[in-house]
Amino acid sequence: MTSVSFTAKATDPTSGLSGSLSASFNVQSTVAPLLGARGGPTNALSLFNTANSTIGPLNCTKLFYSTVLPTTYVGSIESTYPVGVTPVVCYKTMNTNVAAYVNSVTRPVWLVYHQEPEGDYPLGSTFVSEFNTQSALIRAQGNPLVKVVCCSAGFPYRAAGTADVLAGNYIPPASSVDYYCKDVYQDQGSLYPTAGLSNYPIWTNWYSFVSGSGKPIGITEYGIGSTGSNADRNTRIQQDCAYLRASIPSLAMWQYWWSNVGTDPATTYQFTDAATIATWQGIEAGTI
Amino acid sequence: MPVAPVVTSITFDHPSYAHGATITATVTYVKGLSDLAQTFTGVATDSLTGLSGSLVSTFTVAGVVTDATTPSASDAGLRTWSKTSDTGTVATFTATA
Repeated sequence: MTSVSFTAKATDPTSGLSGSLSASFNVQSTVAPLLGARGGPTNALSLFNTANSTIGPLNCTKLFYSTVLPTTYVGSIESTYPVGVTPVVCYKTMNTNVAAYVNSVTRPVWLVYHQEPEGDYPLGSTFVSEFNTQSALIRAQGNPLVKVVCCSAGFPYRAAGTADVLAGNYIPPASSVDYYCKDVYQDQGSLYPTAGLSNYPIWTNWYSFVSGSGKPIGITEYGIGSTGSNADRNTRIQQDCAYLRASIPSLAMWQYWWSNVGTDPATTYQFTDAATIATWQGIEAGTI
Repeated sequence: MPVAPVVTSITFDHPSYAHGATITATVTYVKGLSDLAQTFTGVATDSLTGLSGSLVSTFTVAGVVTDATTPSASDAGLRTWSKTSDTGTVATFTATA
C-alpha cells in the first residue's frame, strides 16, 4: 500500500492569486509479489522440493548456469520445477544458445545475464553494454514468457563501495530491463542495520537508482545470518516485510536464500525453527 | 486588496484504490475576490449663475468582486487528473490509480 499526496489548487486569473490544500489517498501494490526460495547450494530439484515442503508453498526460485544457457528449455532442470513456480535463470556466456533457449521457453522465466556483475567487471559501463546486447537479443525472439532481468549484488552497494558502483554505473537503462532485482543479506556480525532494509545502505543505495525507473522490483536472494538468534532473524524478516509492503509497491518477487554457505554463522541463512517458518509461510500467504 | 481563492476540503470516494481503479476526488473551494474601482465626482454649483465646476476622483472598494476561479488537481504520482464537473464551488476530478 502506498500513500499518495494529492493537491487541489484554485487559481484566480484576475488577481493571479491561488489557494491550495493537500490530502492523501492509498494505492495498493501492483500485484502480490512472487514469494519463494532457493533450496540449497545446487539447482537440484530435490533441494527445491525440500524447501517447498518445509517453508512453502513457493512460487519462485533461482538457479544458475555458470557459463552458457542450455540449448533448449525443454528437458532443462528448470523445466522440471512444479507448474506455477517461476524460475529466475542466470547465465554468463553471451549469445550462445540464447535465442534458441528463449524460443523454447513455455513457462514464465526471468532471465538474468551475468548476475551480481559488480564484482566481476572493472567498469559498470562494460557490463551495461553487454547487458544491453543480451536484452535486445532476448526481446528480439518475441517470447512474452521471458522477462529481461538485471540482478545486482548486495555488498558492493555499502556506503564504502566503489565510486563506480555508487554512481549507479552497473544499472542498465530501464529501456533494457523488465525487472530490477537485488540480492541482499544481513547479519549481526557486520553492517547490521538497526531497522532492516529500510535503513540498510546496501539496499537503499541500490534502490535509489531504480525506484524512479517505473520498473518492478525483485529480491532474488534474501537471507538473515545466524550471528543473532532465531528470534532476531524472525523479527528482522517481519520488519522487512512490513517495510516492503508499505514502501515498495512495485515489489514483484521476494526469495529467501534457504541455504547455508559453509559453516560461518554470518552466512548460515537457513532457518528451521517453527516460528520463522510460520513467518515466511505467513508472508507467502499474505497474512503477514 | 484582492482576496485569494481558498480550497476548503478534499474528499475521496474510497480510502484506497487498486491499480487501474478510478479515483474520484471532490474539491470544494471559495472563489477569489478583486477590488472594485469606483469613480467619485465632486460638483460645486453657483446658484445665481447656474455655473458649476467639478472634479473627478476614484476610490477602491477592496475585495468585493467575485472572480472567475479555476480549480485544478495534481498528485505526487504524476497521474493525469481530469475535471469532470465544476459548479463554481464544488469541482470533481478523476484519475486512474
